Amino acid sequence: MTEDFLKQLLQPLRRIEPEQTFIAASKARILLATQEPPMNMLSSRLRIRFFESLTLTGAIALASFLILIAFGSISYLSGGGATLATSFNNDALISEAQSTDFQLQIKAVTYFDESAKQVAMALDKITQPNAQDPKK
Amino acid sequence: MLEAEQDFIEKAKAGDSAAFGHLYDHYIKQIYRFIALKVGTKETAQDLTHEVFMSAWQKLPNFKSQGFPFSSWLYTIARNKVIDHYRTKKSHVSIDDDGVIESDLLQSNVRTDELFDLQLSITKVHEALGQLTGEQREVITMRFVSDLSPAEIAQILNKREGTVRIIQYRAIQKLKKILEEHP
Repeated sequence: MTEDFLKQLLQPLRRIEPEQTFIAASKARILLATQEPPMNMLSSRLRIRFFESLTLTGAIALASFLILIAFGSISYLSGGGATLATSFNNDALISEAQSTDFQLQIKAVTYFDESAKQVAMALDKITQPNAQDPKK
Repeated sequence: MLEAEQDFIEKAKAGDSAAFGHLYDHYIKQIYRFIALKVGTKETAQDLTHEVFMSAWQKLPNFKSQGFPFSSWLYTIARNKVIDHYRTKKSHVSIDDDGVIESDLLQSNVRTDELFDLQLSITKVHEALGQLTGEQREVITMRFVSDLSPAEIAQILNKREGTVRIIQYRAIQKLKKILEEHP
């Protein structure tokens, strides 16, 4: 079967045509309608290419990322950010570190001082010559 | 392709309705035929054809040829309108079920004495086409009724040109077999 034969076979379908009254009425109505304004070249190109390239997975990932950013921003603005910002103050960090170290030293000295006294008293009791033998 | 088509397109893009009128006059019959063969009724074919050219006129300022003729763009709009039609208004009917051509599609421009024979021929051809898959029928009608090139069909169907040629080859083989069995 050649292409020419096929064209001949399908020739009757080419006889399907619209009515002239329809053509005239439709054309008149169309040409009275207003056109859409042209979109900005760069923005339209970027918009179309970006959204056309999005797959379902990509769209879900993008939506999740945007939600994360939104919640992060809300959390930051509601106070969490202020605390975080002050923690990066160098002077405050140094003074905090110094005071913590100091208190630990005092506590350690007090502990050793008290424990040394208790140990000495216990040793004295054991080593006294007139100490009574509990078995006697 | 219409002579000075690019000039008409540029003028129409700038809002020149007379320029669009030339494009309308040149393409109305083939777009109407393309739609009529898919929907089968005069009223629906007229409605959808009107919508196609209305969309084309309204969206023309943003039209970019991308190396393909203006007709490819019109056929793409037409195809999408038909798909939308079956999806929204006739959800119970598939686009592949377009097996009936109503006789009123011909009555206005065919002599009464040849109307019966013509209707019979159309019914016979359409029945043969009806045994092809929707995709094969679409390629065959675009290629041999609308005279579109495989490259243009590929653009409209969003397929590779090679794929369109394969679909066309298989459709011709199938039609040959059908016509041999039912001459």
